[in-house]
Order: sequence, then structure tokens, then C-alpha cells
Amino acid sequence: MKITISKSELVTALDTVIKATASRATVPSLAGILISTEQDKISFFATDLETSIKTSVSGLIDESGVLAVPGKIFTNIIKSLPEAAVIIETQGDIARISCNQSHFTVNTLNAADFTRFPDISGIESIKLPSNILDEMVKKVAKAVSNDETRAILTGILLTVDKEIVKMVATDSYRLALVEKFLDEPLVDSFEVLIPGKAFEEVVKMNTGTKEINIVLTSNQILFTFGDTSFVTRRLDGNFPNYNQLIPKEWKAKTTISLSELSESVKRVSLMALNNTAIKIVCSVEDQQISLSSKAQDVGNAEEKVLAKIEGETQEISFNYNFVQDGLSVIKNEFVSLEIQDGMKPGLIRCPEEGFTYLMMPVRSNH
Amino acid sequence: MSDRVILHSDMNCFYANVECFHRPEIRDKPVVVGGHEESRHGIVLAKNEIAKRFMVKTGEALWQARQKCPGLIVIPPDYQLYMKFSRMARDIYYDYTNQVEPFGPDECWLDVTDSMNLWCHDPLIIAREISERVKAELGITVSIGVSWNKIFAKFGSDYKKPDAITVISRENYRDIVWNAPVEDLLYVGRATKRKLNAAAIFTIGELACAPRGMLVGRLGKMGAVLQDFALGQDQTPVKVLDPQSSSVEYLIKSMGNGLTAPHDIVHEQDAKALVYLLSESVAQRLREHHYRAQTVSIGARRGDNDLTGYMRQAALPAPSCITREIADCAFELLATAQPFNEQFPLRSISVRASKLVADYTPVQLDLFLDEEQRYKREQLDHTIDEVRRRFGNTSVQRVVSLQDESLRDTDIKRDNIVHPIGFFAR
Repeated sequence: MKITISKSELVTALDTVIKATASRATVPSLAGILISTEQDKISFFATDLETSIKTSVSGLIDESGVLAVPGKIFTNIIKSLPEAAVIIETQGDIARISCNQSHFTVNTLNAADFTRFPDISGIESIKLPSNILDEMVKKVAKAVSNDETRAILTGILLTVDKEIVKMVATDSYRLALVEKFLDEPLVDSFEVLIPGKAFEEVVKMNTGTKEINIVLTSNQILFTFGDTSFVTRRLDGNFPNYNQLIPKEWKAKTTISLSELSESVKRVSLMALNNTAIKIVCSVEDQQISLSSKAQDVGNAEEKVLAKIEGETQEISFNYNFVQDGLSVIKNEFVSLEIQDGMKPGLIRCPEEGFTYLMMPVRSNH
Repeated sequence: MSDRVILHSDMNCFYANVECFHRPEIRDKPVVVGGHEESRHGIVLAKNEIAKRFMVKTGEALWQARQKCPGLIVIPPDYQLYMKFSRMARDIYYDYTNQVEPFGPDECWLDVTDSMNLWCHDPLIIAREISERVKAELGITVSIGVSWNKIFAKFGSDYKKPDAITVISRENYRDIVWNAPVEDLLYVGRATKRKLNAAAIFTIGELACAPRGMLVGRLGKMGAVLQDFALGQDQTPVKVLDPQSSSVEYLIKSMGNGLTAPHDIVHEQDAKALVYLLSESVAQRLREHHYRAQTVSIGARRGDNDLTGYMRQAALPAPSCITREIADCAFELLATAQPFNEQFPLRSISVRASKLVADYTPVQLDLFLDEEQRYKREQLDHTIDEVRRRFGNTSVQRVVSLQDESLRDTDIKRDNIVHPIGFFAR
């Protein structure tokens, strides 16, 4: 095989597929990248058996063929090359890389060891605008759980009901829900639980195209955008019934400036050492909320922020990380904070962005 | 810096001698303290000097002991009495130094370095006075080791028994300690002895002189530690504890209870009863010490002839001191590990709670747990604790525990004793 390809395009392709290489692979091919020629395109493929990514770029093909290289070292070499055309050529079981005056040889892997790109013939599929997906995934991603023992919570639930698109994620301490409306109704109903990490990768990778196509099989999900295909496994099981978890009522509702609230939370958090909580008191009489934290043997912090408060005075404590995570994805000028009591979940809402963020409080004994 | 002066005082045949002191009529007879045979705890826990002459050994079955020694008197253990004596002995020690570190109920280290100036300049005088006072006030003989480190002091107290004082000095330790078999050194147990013997190390002296690299290669970092012990280079201080407190206030890392059931367990109901009984004590102790646990582990020993055992552990969904949550987690571990039938009879079960967090640590509530109910359960448990504190531990019992007749009125918590703390405990 002999191909010539621009360095920057090569880097983009490698950066895309390297996400699907295993860092500690037991089989060398799982850490490798398979490069092959297809008519006038050069295609790149990697898989760690959990996710598989395939992308292609155009380039000059002098001699067609297949080549497998160790992913990490190959990508590092290409990235360090000057901005010029890169020539890749195979000679027996070595690959020769040349760019201007730089020359490398890399021992190749056995291309026959690679599994094939999964053959997806979907039972359901949907096309969604990338900008909407991008915004929605970013809004719920922080609430995705990392705990593999409750695999179901490592996913983002995507549902489409006519023109309404919803995404939900929860790690059992907080829950993020975002709702958007499409210009025109798409399908009657569509629901899938997508591994959170993979979904984040997909929206990050997709920079150029307007739409992402999602195809479902019984156990896999295929995303296609531009020249790239991304396959990951579908999460099994039933996502918790989140509608039931979101309180319909509140005893205190605070409407407050987002920037003022997040600044105060940030400052008060400084004293919430060792993940102790920050206490929030919404006072109806004073029409202000007070945030405070206390670190044993270190000191205290207290701030008051003016706000519009309806209902009755309430008090609640939260892990400051959860509050910050929730506020950080909102752009609107105002947010509302709804509280029932100190033992029940509190809500951050931003109806303008279709965003609902629920946090379980922290209970302190004394 | 001059050497420290450390005493190790060991009350001889502690349980048996306490019993003899309490019952003058049996003092001149062979006596052992043994568990209840009908509950299958029938082993020798301690023996007096007379029983020792009949070659009765600690740990052997009572029937074996009776064969060796006809007319043997077997007394059931009374741990509260022993703890009282243990405390009284410590009160004597505290007259000589504030640095008293108990090593089990019957042994203590005393650092008397700074008391030398106050008393006299001879540690032997202190040792003799302690020995005389314990004998006169508690009626128990002690053997005392005197040395410049804890390991040799402990060696000294084991060297000559009963009622003896052994000084291990920089001058004589090569003659006394180094000629002794390696298993006489603290922390050389059966497995370590086997490994050392395989390397042709049979005496403590040979251990002291062995190539360090070889020891580390064979025993890991313990190899180096043991060699330091053998060389008399142990530096660990005698830990200062609160003299007012009756128990040992170490940083608690875990709490557990275990019991050999009166009969082999072959039914799910009986297993559940025992797990609940044990968990109840564990959870109650957690609450008493203001802790919540994050991990629960169980140990089980099979009732067939080989008495094989296993351990399992699991993380709790949230830190807990609620009896029900700990018991349910423990029982689930047991039920997943084995079926309950005649083919897998269970002889003993233990339940342990670890990864402890203080209960004043704020609790992050979970969306999928019924936090209100959890809170109520915790309050209920605290209330029951209070009832039990006033009216006894068996005043409130769980139905599940009452279903097994043989376990009725078993009070795990009352009979719980905190046993020797590891030498390396911080």
C-alpha cells in the first residue's frame, strides 16, 4: 500500500478513531488502527470491542491495500510531523512514514486480527440536529454516574416524542433533565439508553455536520455523521421512572440571578472542605437567600444574595459540587430554586432552556 | 539517648486464676475455664497450674482434657469478672507509669523509663513491687519481662512462668533470646515459622544474623520487621491511653461478632436468625461508638469435618448503622455464597462492619433509597438501644432471633470482648 495524505486531515482522522483503542489491551489489535483504501477514500478503523469507530478522508492512493499500526505511537508520530503531505508506504511487515525530511518506520500489526466493523442493519433510526444534541448532552452529562456496578445509571436516556426531544441522566444523587422542541414532529416515539461517555464523545467529534443519524439494533447503537461511523453497545435494563422522582410541588421558590448565585456558591464552597455541605436558607421575610459553610477548625463562610422568594422560609444543605455542576450548564440570566424541605430533593429550574436539575440534600445530624 | 526501660507484665493462667481466687474451694484442684459444651463451645480456654501438670492444653476439647485429667473441674467463663480483674491490674500499673499499653486482657506493656528517677534507679525493684502487689491484691501471679524494647520485654515475660521476673539486657540477650527457637518471637506464627525453617533459620539468633535481602524476599516487608525485632531494634513506643477509660481507645477500624451455633445450621430460617443476632450486636456497637459502616463482610465456617471457611464482603448502598440494613446485606452475602441444606451445614458465622465513618459526617441522601424511612429506622434503633441500656440487651428481641430456640437469650453484645489489638495498630 502507498498513500499520500495531508497531515492535518490525517491527524483529525486518527484523533477520531483513537478513542476506540484500548489503552491496556490484551490483544495488540485492540490497541491498533486499521488503515485501508476504498476507491478514492482512505478509511480508518479502531475497536476495543465495546465501541468501534470508522472514519474516512480523501487522499492520493498510489497503491491500494490494508495496513494495521499500533494506535498510540503512530498517532504521536503523525501529530509531531510538520504541516505537509505525509506518505505512508508498506514494505513487508513494516510501514514507512515520510514527511519532508522526517522518516519513520513502524512495525505493523496483523490486519487479519481485526474484527470487522459491525454490520448494522437497524430496526429503528432517527436523524437529529447536531446543535440540539450537542447542547442537550452537555446539559445532562455531569449527572451521569461513573459507578459501573449500577450500569443503567452510566447512560443517558434519549426519548423523542413527536417534536419533543428529552434527555435524562442521574447518578442517584442528582438528576438532570432537558427538553427541547424540534421545528416539526419526527417520529411517534423513540427511546434509547446510550452510554454517557460514548454519547459525549460523539457530540465532541462531530464538528462539521448539521445532523447526526442514530440507528438502533437490539444490542447496539450506530451514530453516523459526515464520513464517520461510531458504534457502541446499548445499555440493558430499565431506566428509573424519573417523572415520579421530580417533585411537582414546592414550599419555597426562589428566583435569582444566575451569575450572582454561582459566584456566591463558588466562594462559600471554599469553606466546605472535605465535601461537607453548604447550607442554603431561603428567607421569605428578608427576600434573600443566605449560603453558608463551616469547616471544623478552619473557619466559616456566609453570603447573602437578594432574590425573589415565594412560599415559606426553608432551609436545606447540598454538596456544593452538585450545585455548581447544575448551575454551570445554564446560560440564562435567571434560575429558580425550588425547595420542599431539608430531607426532600431540591430543584434548579431554567424553563427558558428546558432544563430541570434535581439534587438530593445532605443531612447533617447536629 | 539512653535505653528505654520497658516492662511486660503477663498474668499467669489469667481466667483460671481469677476463678480460683473467687472460689477458694477449688484452688487445690485441677481447674479449666471452658466454653459450654452443649452449645459446642467446649474447648479449654484457660487452665490452672495443677491442670497444666496433667498436660492439659489451651484450645483442646474438654473431653480430651478430662481423659488426661480425671476429676477436672470445668468452669464456664465469666468475661465481665475477667474484665474487672484486668482493669484492677491496670490500676496497679498506673501507680508506676502513665504509659500502659494493654495487649489483650491479661498482658500489658509499661514504659517506666521516666519513672526511674522518681522511684529508684533499678527497674527490678519496680518489677518486684508490681509482682508482689498483684499477688497480694488480686491473688494472681504475674511473670514480668524487663528490657529496652517491647519485643524482648514480652519475650522475657514468656521466658519463665509463673511468678517470675526476667531481665533481658544488652549484655545477656544473645545468650537468652538468641538461643530460643524462632517461634518464641512475637509475630512468628505457624506459617512464618515454616517459611523460616525452610530457610534453615531455627533460632532467633539465626534470624537476627540472616541476610536481610533473603528475609524480605521470603517474607515481604515483615521479614525486615522481624529481623529488627530479633536484633532488639524495635522502636515502637508504649502507647499512652486514657487511664480513666476501661477499654482500649484505639482508632477503631472495624467491628464484628461471630458465634459458633449450638447446632449445625441447615435451614435458611436458622441462618437468618444467627445473622440477625450478630448484626444486631455489630450495629448496636456502631451506634454506641457513633459510627456508620460502608462495608459489611461475613465469615462462615462449614460444619463438616474439614471445617473449611470463607469470607465475603460487599459495599452498603449508603453508610449505615441500621441493624436491618447491615443484617440484610450480611444475609444476602451468605445466601449468595451457599445454599442452606444438609450438604452445606454451617458451624459458625461472623458479621463484620468496616470502612467506618463518624456519624456526625453529613450524609448525602440518595434519590432511590427511601431516606425518610431510613431516618426513622435509625431513630428507632437508637430508641431500642436506650431501652436495652436500661432493661438489658435481651429486653427487646427480634422475632427472627426468637424462632431458633437454641439462640434464645443469647446476648452477643454483652459477651463481646475486645481482644488483643494488633501490635501494629495505630
